[in-house]
Amino acid sequence: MRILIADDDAVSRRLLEKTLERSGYEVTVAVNGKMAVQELTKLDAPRLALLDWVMPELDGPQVCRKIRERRDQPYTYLLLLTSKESKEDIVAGLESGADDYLTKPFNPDELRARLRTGERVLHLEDKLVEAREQMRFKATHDALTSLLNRGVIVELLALELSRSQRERTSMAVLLCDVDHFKRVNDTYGHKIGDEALQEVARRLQLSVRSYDFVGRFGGEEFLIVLNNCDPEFAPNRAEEIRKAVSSRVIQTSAGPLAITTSIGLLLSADWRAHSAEELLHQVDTALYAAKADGRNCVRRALPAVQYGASGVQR
Amino acid sequence: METSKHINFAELLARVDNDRELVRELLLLFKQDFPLQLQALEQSISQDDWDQTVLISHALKGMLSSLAMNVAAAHAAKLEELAKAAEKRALKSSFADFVEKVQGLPKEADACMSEVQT
Repeated sequence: MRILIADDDAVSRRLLEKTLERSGYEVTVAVNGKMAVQELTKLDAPRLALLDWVMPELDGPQVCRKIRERRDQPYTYLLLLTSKESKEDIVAGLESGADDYLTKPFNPDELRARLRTGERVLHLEDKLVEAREQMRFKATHDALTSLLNRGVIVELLALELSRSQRERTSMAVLLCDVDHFKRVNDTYGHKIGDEALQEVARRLQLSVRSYDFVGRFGGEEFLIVLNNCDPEFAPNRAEEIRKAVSSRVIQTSAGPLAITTSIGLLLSADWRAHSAEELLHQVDTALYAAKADGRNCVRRALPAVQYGASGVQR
Repeated sequence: METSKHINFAELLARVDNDRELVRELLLLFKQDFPLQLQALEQSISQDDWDQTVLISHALKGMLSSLAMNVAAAHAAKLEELAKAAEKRALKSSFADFVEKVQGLPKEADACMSEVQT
């Protein structure tokens, strides 16, 4: 494990360095408080630190305060080294954000024991963060496909719509539906249906850019938001996405399946100032038209005033 | 070597996990650093620079106690307290005592270094 030592005294510093190296730590050294803060705020900084109390530039408690000011950073376990033994000093040191303190001159066994405590605390913190991230992922993603879930993709659609209106950029919304999916489930069972959905989801995700959004809208429906998408190229992009699903058979444990999708396409440029709900309604209409036109195709939703009551361009 | 006047050798060895090579290295660092610190302390006292005097005497206290030079470390702690209290006259007198007490330290450090080499 990596550890930072900050001490202005060369003898103490070397003594600590050697003691810790012998105990298997990878040691980084700082000769004053300012340098300690620089080291501890780097990317991939050590997460254990031994800080002398009295140092030039910044003292140990000041370093603690600087480190604790940071938010959303991995926790750093800070141990103050001090020859100050009064209760007031110790309280002040802990109040500054230190996790523990050790009196100088230190006993090597006590130092190692206290650092092991620090490692246990960091390990627990890592497990908590991991659990929180897992919960966050579960709350925002679909369990079967690992795509964004319906709530999140609709929320992102609304945010992106506002942004495209504010910044006068164009976005495209695609509603994709797996053709004859009920037949897949009825013929091969839900397990194979799930395998097919997982592969469709994977292909959809791979067919968009890193800053586009793909979510499972429900059942066998997927919603895609293409940000900052030139209206001229959007129909071609939708075609590419359709082909990304249908161009190759999907290998399942029941054998290969030919899967296609129908896609409703809507460009924000055509529907400026409408809400996300209205966009969804219009793109659903376009998807319905794609289904009605024989499936495995893309249909674009357009303003009804220009293209007739159906609102769909064929 | 356990009978050294200023250095508690047994305590020092325990502090370094019995690493004699490290003892040598630390004493070498001490020999390089200590005269400079002493000089800086003398200067800060003569200039009535209390903050600097507190800092230097504190650093000296840490260095001396790390090397189990306990009597000298206690004296450095006294200098630190006097500087905090800005006790000018007592500080100057105490510093003179300190200098006299630590005069033999470098020689003892040399003896210690020879001891750990054998």
